[in-house]
Amino acid sequence: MDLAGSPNLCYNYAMRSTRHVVQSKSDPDIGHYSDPPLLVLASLAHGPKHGHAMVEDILRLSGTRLGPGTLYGALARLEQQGWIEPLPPEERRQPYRITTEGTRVLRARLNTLQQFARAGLKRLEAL
Amino acid sequence: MNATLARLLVRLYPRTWRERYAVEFEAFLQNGPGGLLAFSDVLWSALHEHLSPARPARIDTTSRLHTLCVRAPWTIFGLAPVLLLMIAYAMAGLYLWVGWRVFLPGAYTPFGHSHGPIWAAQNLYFQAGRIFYFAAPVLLGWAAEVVVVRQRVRPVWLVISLSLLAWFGSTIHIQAARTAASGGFDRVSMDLPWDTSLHAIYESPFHLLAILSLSVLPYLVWRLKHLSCGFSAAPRS
Repeated sequence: MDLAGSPNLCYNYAMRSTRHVVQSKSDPDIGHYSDPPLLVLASLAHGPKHGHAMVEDILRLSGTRLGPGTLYGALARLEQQGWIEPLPPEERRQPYRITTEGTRVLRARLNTLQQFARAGLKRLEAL
Repeated sequence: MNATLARLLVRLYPRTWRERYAVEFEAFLQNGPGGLLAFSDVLWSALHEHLSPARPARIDTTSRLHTLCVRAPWTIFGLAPVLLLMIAYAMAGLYLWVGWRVFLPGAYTPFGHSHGPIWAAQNLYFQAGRIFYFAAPVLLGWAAEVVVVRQRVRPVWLVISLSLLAWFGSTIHIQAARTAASGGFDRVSMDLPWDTSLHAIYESPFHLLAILSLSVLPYLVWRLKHLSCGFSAAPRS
C-alpha cells in the first residue's frame, strides 16, 4: 500500500518534519534524521514509553534529540490521528503506545523510505 | 527546568491544547534539562500550535473578539496594534528611565555609554531593554497572525496590521536627555511618526524591512506548509 501520496501522511509528516530539534552532540552536522512524528512512532514500535524515555530512545535511534515542544507537538498530532494512544499514568509520567493503525502507517512509511534510500544509494554508487 | 518557568511556558499554548496536555507536559518540562534550546523549542511549538492547532478549537461566534473581527476589524488590526505598540514603547521608555537613574545617575543621556563587561548587571539591563524595544512590533505582529488564523479573518487585515506595526516600529524613536534648565531633570520622550517627518521612514528602511520580514515569517511558513499539503489545517474527524 502506497501511503506516500496520502493527504493524511502529508499532514502528519510534512507539517512537522521541518520543526527544529536539538541536535546530537556526537554528530552535529550530518547523518541525523529529524522527522519527529516518524521518530516517535519508531520509538513506540519498541514498546510503550513516556516522554523522557522516548527522547533518549530517539537519540540512540537517529542521533537526534527532540526538544520538548517538538516532542509534544508530534505526540498531539499522532494521538489526534489515532496512531498512538495514552496508557494509564505512572505517577506524573504519561506513557504512550503505538496503535495497530500506527504500526501500519509506520511500516508503510519506512518501506517508502527504504525504497527511496535504496534508489538514492544506487545513484551515488554510479558516481 | 524551573517549575515556575515550566508553568509559564505551558500557559503559552492554546487552551484546548492545555486542557489535554498541560499536566503531563509541565511534568515533562520540570524533569527535563531546560536550557536555551529547550526554551526556544517550546516557544516555537506554542506559536505553531496557535497557528496550526493539533486540537483545533471551534470558533466561538459569540465571543467579543470574533464579533469585533467581523464587524469592526479595523479596531483589532488597525487601532489595537498601534495602541499596544505605544504602550510597549512607553514601558520601554520607563524601563530606560529607571536604568538611567540607577546605573548612570550623572549622565546627560543613557545613550552612547559603554555598559561594561557583557555579563555586568548594567549591560544586561540595557540590552534586555533594547531587545524588548526591538521585539515589541514583531511580537505584536505574531499576535495579529494568531488572531487572523484562529478567527479566519481575511489576510488583507494582517497586511494592514503588519504594515502599521512596521511603519510605527521603524519611525518611533525614544529620546532621552537632561533638560537644559539649571537643576534639570532626566526626560525620556517618544518621537511619533507625525511628530517628525514622514521621510523618517526612508531613514530606517532596514529597520522597517526587518520588522516586516520577522513578523510575517511564521505566517508565511504556515501558509506554505498548508499549500504544499493542499488542504486546510483541520485534521480528519
